[in-house]
Amino acid sequence: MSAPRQVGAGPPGLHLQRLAAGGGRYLADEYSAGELHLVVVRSREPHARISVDPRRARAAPGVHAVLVGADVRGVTEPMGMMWNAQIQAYAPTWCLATDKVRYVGEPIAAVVADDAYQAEDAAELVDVRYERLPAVVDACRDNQPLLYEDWPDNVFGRNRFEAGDAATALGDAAVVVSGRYTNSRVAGLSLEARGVRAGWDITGESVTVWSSTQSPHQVRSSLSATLRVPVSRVRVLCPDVGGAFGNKACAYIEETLVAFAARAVRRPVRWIESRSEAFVATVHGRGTVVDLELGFTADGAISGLRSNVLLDCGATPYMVGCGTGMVTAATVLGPYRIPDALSELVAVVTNKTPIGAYRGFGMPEATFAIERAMDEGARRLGIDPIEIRRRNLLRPDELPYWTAAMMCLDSGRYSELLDLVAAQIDWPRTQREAGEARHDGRLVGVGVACYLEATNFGPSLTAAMMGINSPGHDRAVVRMDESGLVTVLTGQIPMGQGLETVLAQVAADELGVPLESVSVICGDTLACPYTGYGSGGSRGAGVAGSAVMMASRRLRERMHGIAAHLLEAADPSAVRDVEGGFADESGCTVTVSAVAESAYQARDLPPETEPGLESSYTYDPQAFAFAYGAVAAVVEIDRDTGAVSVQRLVFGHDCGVQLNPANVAGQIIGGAAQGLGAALYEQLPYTTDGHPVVESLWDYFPPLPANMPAVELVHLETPSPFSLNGAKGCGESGAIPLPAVLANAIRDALDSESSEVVDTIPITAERLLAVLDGENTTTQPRETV
Amino acid sequence: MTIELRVNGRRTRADVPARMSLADFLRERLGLTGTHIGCGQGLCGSCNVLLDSRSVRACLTLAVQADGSDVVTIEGLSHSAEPSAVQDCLIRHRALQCGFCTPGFVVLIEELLAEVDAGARPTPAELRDRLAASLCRCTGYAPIVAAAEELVAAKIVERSR
Repeated sequence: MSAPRQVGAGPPGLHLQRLAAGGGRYLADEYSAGELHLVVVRSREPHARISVDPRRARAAPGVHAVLVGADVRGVTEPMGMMWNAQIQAYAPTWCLATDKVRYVGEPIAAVVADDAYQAEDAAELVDVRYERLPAVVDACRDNQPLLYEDWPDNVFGRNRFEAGDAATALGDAAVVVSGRYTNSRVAGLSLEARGVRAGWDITGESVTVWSSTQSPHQVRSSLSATLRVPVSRVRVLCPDVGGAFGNKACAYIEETLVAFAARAVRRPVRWIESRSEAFVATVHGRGTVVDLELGFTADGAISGLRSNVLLDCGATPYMVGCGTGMVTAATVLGPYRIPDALSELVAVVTNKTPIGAYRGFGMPEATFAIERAMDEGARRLGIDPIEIRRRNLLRPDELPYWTAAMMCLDSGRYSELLDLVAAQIDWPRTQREAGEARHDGRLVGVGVACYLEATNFGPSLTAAMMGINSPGHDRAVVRMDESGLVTVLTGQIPMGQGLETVLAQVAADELGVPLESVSVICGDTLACPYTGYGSGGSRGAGVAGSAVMMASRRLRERMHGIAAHLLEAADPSAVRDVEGGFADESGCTVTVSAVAESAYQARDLPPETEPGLESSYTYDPQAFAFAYGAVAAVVEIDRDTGAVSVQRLVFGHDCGVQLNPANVAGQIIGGAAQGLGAALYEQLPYTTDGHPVVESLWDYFPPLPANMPAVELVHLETPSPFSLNGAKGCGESGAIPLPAVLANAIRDALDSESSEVVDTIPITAERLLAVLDGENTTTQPRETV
Repeated sequence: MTIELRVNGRRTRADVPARMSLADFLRERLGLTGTHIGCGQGLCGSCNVLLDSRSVRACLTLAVQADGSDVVTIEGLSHSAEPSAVQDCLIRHRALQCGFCTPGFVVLIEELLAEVDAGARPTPAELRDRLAASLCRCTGYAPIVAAAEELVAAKIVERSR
C-alpha cells in the first residue's frame, strides 16, 4: 500500500499527549447530573456471623439509603463463575453478605449519600455486630472450620493433567529434585483504583454502568444475570483506565451493588474505591504453593515430573475461581520435553480476599517452581544451568508440541534465544566474576530462567475444555466515512498497553491511509462489537490485531471494486494500489477519498454493491500462541542489610511478529518491574487470626526507580502459525520469569546448602538477613500462602 | 471557611468545609481533574501540585491550607495545542502508559527543572531519589528516569549559554 508502513514501526500513539497533559478521562473524573456517592461498609472480621443495624446511618445527614444483605438477597442472583474446575464446589456470593462474613473486606452494607464525606460519616454509624468464628488462614485441604457448612471440606476445586507414567519415570531417575515453591499473595496495584458509576432510565428498565474494567462484555453479562435484566438493556461503558494488570478483569461485586443501589434510590450512583479498600476488596494475585518433584537422568535430561499445586482461593471464589491454579498446573512443565508427568491442582477456600487475575495468571508461579527445580538439578548433577536447560528445551522441529498437560506449544526457537541471552550477559565471564567476588567476601550471584507465556487467549473450544465459561473470539468492525477517515470498533480495552495505537497501525496499513486518519473506538458495549473475554490473556495484538487486519482487508477489497468501477477498468484485477489510492494499467488514478465519497453517494456503484464502506471480521484463534523467553541476572546482596540489588538483567523474549516494538519493550520492562517487586518486596500477609497486614500503601512496597536495573533486551521474532498476523502476546512476559531468575541468582550468591530462603517469594532483605545472621528461621514447614 | 488563592494564575475565592482536601477542591470544585487521587495517603504522588513553587501532595493538603497561596496543577503546566517540553520528552521516551501517574511526574520534573534553573546540579542518584516521590506501576521507571535526565541535561546546557 501507499502510506509508510506502520506495523513494525513504533509510533508512540496519539493518545499520549492527551494523557500527559492531564486530559485523561478516568472513571472518577466524570459525573452525571444528580449523582450520589456510595460507600461500602466492609467486614472488619475474617470469619463471623453478623447482624446489622442501619438505623442510625439512615438518619444521618445527606443519606438517601443504607442497603444491607436482606435488601439484595431475594431480588438479585449470586455472582457468576468464569472458570470451573473438573470438580468444583458451589460458593454462591451475593453483592452484600447476609448473615455471615468470610473475609476482612467483604461488603456488608452500602451507604448512599449526597457527597462522599457524608457517605463516609454515615458508614461509620452502621452498627455491625460480629459473632466471631475461628478463621481459616493456612491454605490446606483439611483445615477447619468449614467456610461453607454444606461442603464436606474446604476444598473448592480439583483438577489433574497426566500423561505417561510419572511414578515410574521418577522411580528410574538418577536424581530427583523435590521442593516446595511458594508465591505469596500480591496486589496488582494499578495506580487508579477501581470505580463504578451507574444510572437507570426513568422507567427502570435499562441501566448504564461505567466501570474501570478490562472486560466490559463480561461485566454486561454479569449485570444482566445478577440484576435479572436482559443483556440488551445493560450498557457498560469504560472510560480511560489507569492501569489494570488483570485485577480489573472479569466482573466484580461492586458493579452489581452500585447498579442495584442506583435502581433503589432512582438516582445515578458512584463508588470510587479507596486505596485502603483496594487492598482487601480488589482480588489478590498468586497465593500458590507448588510441590514439585523433577527427575533427571545422569546426563541432565528430565525424565519425569510430578506436581501438586495448592491454590489459596480466598473466601468467595466467584469470577476466575481456581483458574490461576489450573494454569499453574498446566504450565509447570515449562518449555521442556517431559513425556511423563502428573500435575494436580487442589484449590481451597480460606478467610481471605478472593484470588483473581493478575499479570501472569498462574504462569509466574509455575515458572518459579520448574526453574528453581532446574537449577537444583543442575547443581546436584554438576551441570551448568544454561547447559541443563539447553538439553531439555524443545527444538523448533519438535513444535507444535503437545505437552503432557495438553498445551499445544506452537512455535519458537527456545535454545537459540537462550544462547543469545547467554552471549549478551557473557555467561562464562559473568559466572567467573561472581565467583571471584564471592571469593573476596561479596555476595554476588548470577542466575538464568526460561519461561513460556500462553497468549492469544483463547480458542473458544480449548478455553471451554479448560473450564473457561466465556468464549475467546473477538470481533472488529472497520468503517471508512465519506471523507476517507477510518473508525475501528473493538471490544478490547486500552489500559496503558497502547492497544488503540496498535490496532490503528494495523488498519492504516491494510487500508493504505495515514495513521492519523484512524480512530479506534473502545469501551462501550452498545457501540463496540462483542468480545467474550475483553482485554486480558495477552490477546490484543494476536487476536484483536488479526480481527482488525481481516476486517480492514475486506474493506480494502470493497474499495478496490469501487475503484475499478470508477476507473472503468476493463480488467479489475489489473487495478493496483498506489500512494493514496488506486491506479489502472494506463496510470489513471482514483484517490481513497474519491472512492469513499462515491461509496456513500451511491450514484455510480458497481452492480450488487452495498452503499457505504464498512466491514467486519470475527476471529477465533485455532490455538493459543506461546510467547517464550530466557532471562539472566546478576545480583548482589548487601551483607549488612540483606538488601538485594539487581546489577544486570538481560531479558530475551519472542512474541512473534512485533506490531509496535516500542510498545513491546514497554510491556516487557514494565512487567519485569512488577516481577521484580513480587520477587523481592511485595506481599499481602495475614496475621495468624486472619487479619490482613496491609491495608495502606504505606505497608506495601512496590519497586522504586532506584530498585530497577537497566533492562537489556534481546529478542527473536518467530511468527505464530496460530494467529493470522503471526503475533503473540507479550503483556505478561515481563512479570513471569523475574521471581525465578532472581531467586536463582540469589541462590548462587548465597552458595549455601539449603535453598529454602529462595524457594519462597518475596525474598525480602529481612529474610535474607536472618539467613546471613545464621538464624535459621525457615526450618518450620509453612503452609501459609 | 472562605479561602482565596490563585490557581493556575487565576484568582479564586471559595467557601469550603474545613476538612476538604486540596485535591477534592481542585477536582470537584474547579473541575481540574488532571490532579489524580491514587492513594489518598500521601504516598503515590499522583496528586502532586505546585504550592508556591514547591511540590505537595494535594490529598494530604487541606484546601484551607492553600489559602493565600499560588497553586499550579497539571492544567497550568499544559499548553493547549502542543505538549510542553516536559510532556514532549516523556512521550518520546514512552515514559507513560496508562497516564494516571503522569501529571504527578510532570509536576515533580517541572519543580526539579526550576531548581536546576536556579543553579542546582542533581547527581543521577539524587535524580532517582527525587523521582521516587511518585509511583509508576506501568513503565518500570527506566523511561521516566531517562526523560528526566535528558531534560535536566538540556536545562544545564541552556543555563550555561
